[in-house]
Amino acid sequence: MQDAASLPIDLGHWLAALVPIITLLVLLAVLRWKAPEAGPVGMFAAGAIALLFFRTPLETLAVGAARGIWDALFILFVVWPALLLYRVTQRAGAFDALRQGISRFSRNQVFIVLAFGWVFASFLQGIAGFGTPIAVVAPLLVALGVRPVYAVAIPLIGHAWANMFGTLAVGWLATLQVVNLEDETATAFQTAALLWIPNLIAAFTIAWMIGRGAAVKLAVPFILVISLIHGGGQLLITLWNPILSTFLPATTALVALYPLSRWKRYSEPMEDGGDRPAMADQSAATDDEDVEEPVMGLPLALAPYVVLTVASLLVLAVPPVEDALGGLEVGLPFGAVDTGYGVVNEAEAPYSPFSPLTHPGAFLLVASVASYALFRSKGMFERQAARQEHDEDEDEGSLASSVASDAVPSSVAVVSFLVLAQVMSHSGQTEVLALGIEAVAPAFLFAILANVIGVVGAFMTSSNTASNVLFAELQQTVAEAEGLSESAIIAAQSTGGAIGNAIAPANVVLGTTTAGIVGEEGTVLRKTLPWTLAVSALVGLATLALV
Amino acid sequence: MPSTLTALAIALGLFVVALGLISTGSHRDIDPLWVVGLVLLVLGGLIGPALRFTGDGEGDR
Repeated sequence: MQDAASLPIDLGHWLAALVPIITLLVLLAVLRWKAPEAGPVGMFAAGAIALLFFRTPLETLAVGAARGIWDALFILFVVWPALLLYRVTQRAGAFDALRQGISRFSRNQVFIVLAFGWVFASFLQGIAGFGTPIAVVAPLLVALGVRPVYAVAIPLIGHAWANMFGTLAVGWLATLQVVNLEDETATAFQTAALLWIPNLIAAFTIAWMIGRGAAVKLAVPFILVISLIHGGGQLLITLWNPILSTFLPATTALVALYPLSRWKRYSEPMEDGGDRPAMADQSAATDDEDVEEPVMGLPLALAPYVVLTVASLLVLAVPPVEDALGGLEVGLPFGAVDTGYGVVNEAEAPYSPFSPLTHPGAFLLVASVASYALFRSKGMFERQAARQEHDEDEDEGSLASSVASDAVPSSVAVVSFLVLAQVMSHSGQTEVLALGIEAVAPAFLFAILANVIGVVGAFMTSSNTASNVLFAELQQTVAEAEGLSESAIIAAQSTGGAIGNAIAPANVVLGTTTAGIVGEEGTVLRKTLPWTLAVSALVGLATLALV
Repeated sequence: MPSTLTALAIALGLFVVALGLISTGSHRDIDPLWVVGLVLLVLGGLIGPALRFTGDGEGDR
């Protein structure tokens, strides 16, 4: 819990607080440094600014940094199992089977990429967070013929709307913990209304990436049907039960894919020709008559994702199971620290306790282990290895080493990003950024910029939940002071926190790692940042209409 | 490349050890512990950028 008694809200300190974020963005997106190289530099920048300009003692720096490392472990518990799942399915030949099996339902690239990059990614966000949709969908899209950079960018954009009420509304529940809302239902409803904007824009953006105007034209009925289920469904269900307001529509949309795939418009390939920036030469829609039959059928190839879904639902949607497994918690204690400007972080014992058995990483681990056992029992690894002329014994040992070689660099990056975020928070830099906007912006401008604060929070922490924990109370205070609708401003904060996940470096790193393009984080950001800025502008205007 | 991976693995290990030392030191008011933890954190953080400038950052894979 923070208390900022006398933070300097002036241009100099505001610009200083911006330095770590700008440093990170420039290194990643402009100079194209790899994430494990850029992240630590951003981390050091945050520490230096804290020491030099924000009267932060070394102990406060240390505690803030350590809390950031602990926060990062939450995400790493998704990263490592997700990479294990990816390697297990890849080595068993499941991706080949998925590509060919799905092409028998539809050979239409627009349908397939939207189905996975938007609908399935949203479904996964509905049941599991911490970047799971990106980690799982990115390699699937690569296997389906999407260029790796787009295979990461597409689920980043496609899943963003589902963050706030996803994972059975953990973001919403955390928000209720930090602010007492006058009208919870109105706030949830307005949040859902604002979230419909990124939902719809994401789908059209993805279609545009697939095949420009021709793809967008083809996709219009599909997008309108699914978005009505997603956005309209979420809007209605928030009036009844916000906790299910992403899960139910996202699941319904997934089921709706089947009848849509039977429509000739979406079962037949797109017409040849035209610009298709997201698609590689080997597309999912090519004729597979000359392609070797995969080692397994589609049902077996889908087994890992079925196990993931069932494990997630069993724990999260069955309260006795969740209560029983959630009893095991792990956490570390930290002492109280403060700064010369009166920013106090109270002692916590434990800080942010972690429940390993109900964490999405546990579900991914269960899916990985179950899939490994299943594929091993059916001899899939041997069959796939024989096709690729690999030695079976080498595969047994190198599965662990290949996971480690994927996960270690991204782990260093994720840790440094979260340390940056916590150092900025503990020193008061984060608060100065938000208060600076509030100090200079008239009420109507603040209404437009409220979601930007949410975006910044999500960018720093890779979490809609953390962004709301950081800024919801501040936003509520400003709304009251400026005479703005509390519901609309909190809704804007939440929506910004959702769309900010599309540019969150930790999410980007997760995607580049599982898509096999570590080092291309800047290239991915160049795809998602314009989308985020455009959607943020639209959400800002919509917020103005709500206040 | 193995040397890059090893160096980053060391960085990760330093971060984890730093976490334990800082937590214990700050909670139990044992200053040397959190100071050592902070030093290890800084050392770990230097590895990533150092790899870029030593020319061994060709691949994290």
